[in-house]
Parts: sequence; structure tokens; C-alpha cells
Amino acid sequence: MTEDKTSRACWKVTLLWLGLWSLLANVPPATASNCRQPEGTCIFGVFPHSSTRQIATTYQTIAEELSLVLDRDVRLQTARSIPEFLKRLRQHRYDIALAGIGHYLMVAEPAGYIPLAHRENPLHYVLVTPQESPLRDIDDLRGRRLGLMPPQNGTSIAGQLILRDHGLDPQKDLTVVRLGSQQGCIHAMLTAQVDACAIAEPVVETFEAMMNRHFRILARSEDLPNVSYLASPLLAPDQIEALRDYFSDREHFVAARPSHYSHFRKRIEALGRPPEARR
Amino acid sequence: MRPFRSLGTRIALIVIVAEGVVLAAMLWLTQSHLRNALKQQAEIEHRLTLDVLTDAAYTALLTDEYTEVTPLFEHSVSNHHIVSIRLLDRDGRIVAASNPTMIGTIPGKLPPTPYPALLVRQPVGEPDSALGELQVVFSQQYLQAAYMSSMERSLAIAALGLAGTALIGLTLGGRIRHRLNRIVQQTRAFARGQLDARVSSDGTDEIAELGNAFNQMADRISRDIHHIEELAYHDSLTGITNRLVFHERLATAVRSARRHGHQHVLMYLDLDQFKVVNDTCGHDAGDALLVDLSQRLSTLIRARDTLSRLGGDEFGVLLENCTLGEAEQVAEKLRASVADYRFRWKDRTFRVGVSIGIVPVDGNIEDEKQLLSQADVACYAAKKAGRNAVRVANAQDGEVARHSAELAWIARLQEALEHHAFTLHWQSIAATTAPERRPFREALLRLVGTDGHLIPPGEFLPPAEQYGLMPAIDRHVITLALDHLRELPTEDRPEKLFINLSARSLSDDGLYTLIQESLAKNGLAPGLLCFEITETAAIDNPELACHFIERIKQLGCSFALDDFGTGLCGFNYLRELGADFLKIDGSFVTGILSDPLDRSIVAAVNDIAHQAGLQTIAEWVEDDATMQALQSIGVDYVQGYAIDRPMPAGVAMRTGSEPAINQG
Repeated sequence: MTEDKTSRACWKVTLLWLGLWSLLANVPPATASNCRQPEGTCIFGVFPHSSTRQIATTYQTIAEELSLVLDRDVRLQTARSIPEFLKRLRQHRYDIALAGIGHYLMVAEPAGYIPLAHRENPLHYVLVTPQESPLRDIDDLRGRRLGLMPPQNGTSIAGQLILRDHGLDPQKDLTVVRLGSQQGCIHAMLTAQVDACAIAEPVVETFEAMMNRHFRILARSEDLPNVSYLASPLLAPDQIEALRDYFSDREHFVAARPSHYSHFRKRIEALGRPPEARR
Repeated sequence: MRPFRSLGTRIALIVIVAEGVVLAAMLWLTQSHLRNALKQQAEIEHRLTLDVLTDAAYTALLTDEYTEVTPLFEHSVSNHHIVSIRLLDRDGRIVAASNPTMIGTIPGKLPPTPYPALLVRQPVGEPDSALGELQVVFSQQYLQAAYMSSMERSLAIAALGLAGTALIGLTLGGRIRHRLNRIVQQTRAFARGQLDARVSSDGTDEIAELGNAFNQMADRISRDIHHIEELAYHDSLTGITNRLVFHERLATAVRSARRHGHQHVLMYLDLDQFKVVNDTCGHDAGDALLVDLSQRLSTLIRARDTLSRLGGDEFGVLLENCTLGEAEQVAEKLRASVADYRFRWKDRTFRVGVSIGIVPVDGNIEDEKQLLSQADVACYAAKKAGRNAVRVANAQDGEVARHSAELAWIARLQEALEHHAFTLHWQSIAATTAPERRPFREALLRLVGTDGHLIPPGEFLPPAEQYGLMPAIDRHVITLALDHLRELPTEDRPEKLFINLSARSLSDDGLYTLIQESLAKNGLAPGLLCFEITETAAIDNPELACHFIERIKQLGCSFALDDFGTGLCGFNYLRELGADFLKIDGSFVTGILSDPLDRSIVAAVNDIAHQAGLQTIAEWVEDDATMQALQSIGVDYVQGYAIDRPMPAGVAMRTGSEPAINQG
């Protein structure tokens, strides 16, 4: 009798624990948005590729248009750093996100984010060195220091792909120095902390004009997919479709399909584990 | 002196009040500027702080990361006069704050602070799409402290300035008051008669100028007063005291004699033969003689005695505390000195004398007028006694008594003129051949005595003639007569009104003008008037009489020769004088019935007058028989009790009495 009672009590406790666990399992992350709720606010996250003020200037209008599209409040948000941005992606704190190719393939896609649209023109990355540098060719990078942004960043991925394409192993043939931004890479190169760095090709002229210096391009990447708008998998399907329609209609953007990223998904997978930062 | 009446206190007060007003205005202005400057500085600081905080808040809100902004808020609170900072997101939740315990809460009221504080709400982001709101509470305590500190310093400086100004103002005011008081004291002393009061000059400022101006004024007034005293109390010709001083001192002597029994003596001096010098050598010589004698006489009396010039050649001497005997000796000394004196003028030498009347001033004297009168009488007696003599006043002296009575008449006549005590009576002058004609009338002067009785002219005219009062009396008579005529209706006026003039009036230059102006003023025809002068007056100065009669006749008036027959006037004068009427003296008329000579004289005078073109008037006609006799002789007019008696002008005018001429 006593054992029966004890056994029933254990079952009750077990069931209660399971019930509570199931409830807790269905609760969305504490930091997730409430975009799915009626009248809930959606977060539009933009990866920190520029200053927060410039990001706000550029994307605030889009956020307001998105509010009209979704018929609810859409707030623009960015992050202080790429890792923070990627962390929030993983936590689904962004209902809508603008991310680079690396962010998408390495973080957002595994987290379930759905590509909505991407910029139609491809993006090129280059390895540059100062004009007066003795480096004349990418092979001259052997044994040298190369400045790269964080591993999940498109610039970093493109830099590694360029090295691979030219038969260089980033982990063996040279020293990778992790830097926070493209501007940080240029600054480190000009102060001789690194011998070369990887940056997006469109910004080469900008940096040359800004710093009154000339850079020598050691190598250029193949065409890489440009930035993409993503939708959280937590959004309702009709919301996702509305967003896709909206972004597809934007100038220079086209609707994204998973196949668009296949080639580079394979190449990134081929890169394996991202190189660890030496500093 | 009450404090606020003092000029120095007023100046000090005005300076202090003005300084206070200026300082208050400056203080207010300075503090206002300081308050504004502090406010602007605080606003700038707030703005800069807000810019930094807002920028950080913007990034924090956009990135939803507050780990970096919170230390910034905490640091700001500790360093920038900030009480608290909190950042609200778009939902109004506190997402970051200087006090971390507030994070995640809904903001309530700010906790009260023991000092002034300012809450500033700053939207983060664009106003129409703000990401949130930054709320910063700035402390105002340091502003207030700075303001109060400045105010305390300014008030201290202002108080010091005011105290200094008050000290300076009171010192300066005191100096000014002290200097002005000196001037006031000297001015008051001067006003009290201290003519040597002067202000000592110190400095060159306005007060010193005032003092100098006072001194100049005092100098000038002193000189003028001295000059006025000279003019008022001294004779301008001789320099000795004048009549005014003499009367004052005589009055004092009279009081002294009556109250204390002191004995003084009055002497009245009249120069003999002075008129000779004046007439032969002119007034300059006469003046020089008077100056010489004044100096000579003044050396012969004591310093305490008074020698004054009382009139033309008349002097008075008052010997104070002197017996009559001593005075007689002094008088004799004076007389002898004048008698010994020789006056030389150009190449001529004159001897003069002096008649001196002496009166003792004792307790029996009524007043100084009586004294002077007695002295004058005594002097007159001395002159009567042969001139150059000394005579002591004596009431028992007959000559003195008569002269004294005459002098009394002079005073009485002057008083009568002054108080209009004279009156006119009218007496008719009737035509013998045409009695129905309006008669002539003669204005006869009467004096109304103090008891109301009429005083006949025989009593008062001789002294009036002797003492030169007749011109004034004649003027008075003319004025009275014309007033009466003016008041009469034209039909009641006499055909002519005869008015008597004295011999002295013939030389009265103003009389002609008076007659002319009085006629015009009263609107009367000159032909209404006929002036009479006596035969004696006419022959005393025939040229003067002719000239006067000529002017009067040119004016339109008539002229009559009065009392003809008594003055031994030559018949040739009848034509030269140009008279219109001849009045036959009554002494002949009264005897024509009993004395054939009188009748012959009257007839002859009447006949001659007619021949000379004059009409005749017989006076003193006292009965009808005389009147008939005159008619038979051919006299033109008659006047006397047989016609009517003199009656007051007003009565004569009302009755319009007709003369009683018996035609039978």
C-alpha cells in the first residue's frame, strides 16, 4: 500500500515535471520578438557594416515601409559587432534581417532563416597591399600577415577562398590577423601591423581617396552573392510572402532561392571550420 | 537746526540715495547678466552633455545594447551636475539609467531633490520616428550657488561703496555747511547793523565766490549807507547837520529836560545882509558865504553841541547841559565872530551880521515846535532891535507877542489850506443902468473858525501877505470858485465872477497854467472870470502886472483894478495896465452925499475911467441915496449892502438873488 502510494506520487511528480518542461519548451526565447503576436512589434536587424547613424539613415525608411507591409510596428536594429549580430540571429531576435553571404550560410541558414531577396549584382573581394609594398603577387603573401575580419564575415570567407584558389593555406602558409572591420584592416595594413588585407572591391577607391594612398590589388575573388534580406522562420507564411514580394520589388534586388547560394554553400563547407583568430 | 533742513545733510543724502540707486541698478544689471550668462553656460553644458548622451543613447537604442551606455550615465552623473539619467525606449520602458535599479521599470515621478533641479526630456532620433527618450535631471544647485556667491560679493562691495559715499558725502556736506554757516552768520550780523561784518575768503570755489560777492555787496551797501546818512543827516552845502538831525536832537533835549530836569539852550540864528550878497553876487557867492560861516561857527561851540542849517540863511544851535548865562556868552561870541568876518568875493568885500534868538530848554516846554517858534520870535525881536544882536525869548515883550501871534496865524492858515477850512461868499455887483441884467458877483474869502464862526479876511490876510501864503490862498480861491461855477446851471451863473488876486500871485508862473487848466477841466468860458488886483499891487511892479494882465486877457478873462484911489496910482497907468473895470475905493463912495470933495473925486475917477475905456464899479454902496447919487454921476456898477450882503456861494446859487436897484 505504501509502495503504491509512493509509486503514484512519483508518477505524479514525473508528470508534473514533464508538463512544466513541455510548457517551458514551447515558450519562445526570452529575447525573441513578439512579431507573431497581433499588434506585436517586429525587429528589422541590419548587420553592422557601417556606423549606427549611417545604418539608421539608410534603413529607417525601409523599416517604416515594412511597417506598412506588415501592418505593424517594425523597428530597425543593428548590433555593435558582427558576433553580437550573429548571436541575435541565432536567438531569432531579428524577424527580418539584412545579412552578408557568410552570415547567412554560416549562421542564419542553420538557424532556419529564409532568404527573401538578394542584391542582383555579385560582390567581389580583393586582397590589397600598399602601393609601395614589396609584395607583387599573392604568392608573396607566404609567411606574411594577412588581416581578415571575423570568420563568419563575407570578407573573411572571400579572403580565404582567394587564398585557396591560389593554392595558399590560410592556416599554414601565412598568418591571419583578425580585425573588427574593413577600416580596421586598412589601418592595420598602413601601420604595418599586417602586410595585406581582404576588403570588398567597391571600397578600395573609397579608402584610397579617404586616406590619400594607393593600394595594389594582389588578387580578386570570384563573383560572390551580395547581401540578402532574410525572414525569421517564426514569422507567419503570409508575412514571409508579403516580405518577399516587397523586397523582390526593390530596385537591384531579386527574389532569393536556396539554389542561388549552393555553390558557395559548398565552398564554405570545403573551408571547414573557420580559422581561429591568432589575436 | 533740524537735520533735513541742513544743506550738508541734504547733499549727503542726495549723494547717498543717488549712489544707492546707481549701485542697485548696477547690481541688478550685473546679476541679471550673470544669471543669464550662467543660464546660457548651463544650457550650453546641457546641450553638449545631451549631445554626447543622446548619441550614445541612439546607438544603444538602435543596437539594443546598453552595457556601454550605463557606465557613461554613471560617469556623467558623478561629473556633470547631473542628478540622474534614464533612457526610455519607444515603449516607455527604462532601458538604461544612471541608477541600474530603475532599468526595466516604468518611469514614475522623479524623486524630490533638496535643491533646484531641471528635468530635460530629449527625444532620441528623428522627432517623428524617435527611438526613445533620454531624460536627464540637471542640478541647478551649482548655478544658484554661483549666483548667490556673486550676489553676496556684489552686495558687500555695494555696502562698502555706500558707506564710503556716505562718509565722503557727510564730510563734504559738513564742510559746505560750515562754510555756508559762516556766510550766514556774517550776513545776519550785517543785517543787525554790524556794517563791518565780512566773510574771510578761503579757496576759489563757488562758496568762496559767494563770500567774495557778499563782501563786495557789504562794501557797497556800507558806502551807500554812509552816503545816505550823509545826505539824510547833513546839509549838502555846508556839511553840518541838517534840520532833521536838529529836530531829533531838540526833541531828545526836550524829553531830557522834562523827565530829568536837565538844562539846555536853543539858539536861532538868522544872518543879516545875506540877501545883499546873494542879490549882488549871485547864489554861488551866497553858498560860499554859508560854507565859510558854517565852518567858522562850528569852531566856536563844544563838540557835544549841535550846529545845524535850518533854512537858507538860518542856523540852529543846541547847547546841551548849558545854563542860560553860559548860552548868552556863547551867543555873543558867535555874534561877534560873524560881525568880525569879512566875506570876499572877487574884488568885493562884504560885512554880514547875525541876529540870534535864545530860548532855554527846561521842563516847562511843551514840545520842540514851541521852542523853535519862541526862538524864531526872539530872533525876530533881535532883528527889530537893529539886527546883529542877541535877544533872549521873553513872553512880556509886545513885539515878540505880536510876532508870536502872527506866527500862530501862519500855522493856522497852513492848516486851513490843508483841511479846506476856507469858504467863499458871493456879493452882487449890479449895473446901474440896466438892473434887469444878470448881475456880476464877487467871490469873497472867509475862514471858518474852529468854533464854526466866520473869520473876516481882515484878520488873516495881513499875516498871510507877510509870510508869503497869498499865492497858495489865491490858488485855493480860484479852485473853489470854479468848482461853484461848474455846479451851477448855465442860466444861474453870474455874467462875471470877480476873483481877487494878491500882488505876489502876479509873479506866480504856475497861476496862469492853473487858471487855464481849471477852466478847461470845468468846461467854463474864460469870459466868466474877472480878476481883481489892488491898485497898490499894480503899481508895486507895473511891468509884472502889465504882463500878467495881458496874458489873462489873452486867455479871455477880464481884469479889474481894485481899491482905486488909495494907492496914488497915476492915471496914466489906467491905459497901460489894460484893465476892463475900475473899482472906486469905498472910502470915497461912502462920503459922496456929505462931502463934495468925495463926490468930485468919484465923478472925476468915473469920468477919467470912461475916457480910458474902463467901466466903473462903486464899492461900499450902503443906501439907496448913495446909489442914486452914483447913478446920477454915471457910475456903471454898484456893490454894497444897498444891493445885497455877501452870502455863502451855495445859498447865492440857490436863491439867485437879484440886486435891489431902485430905479426911482
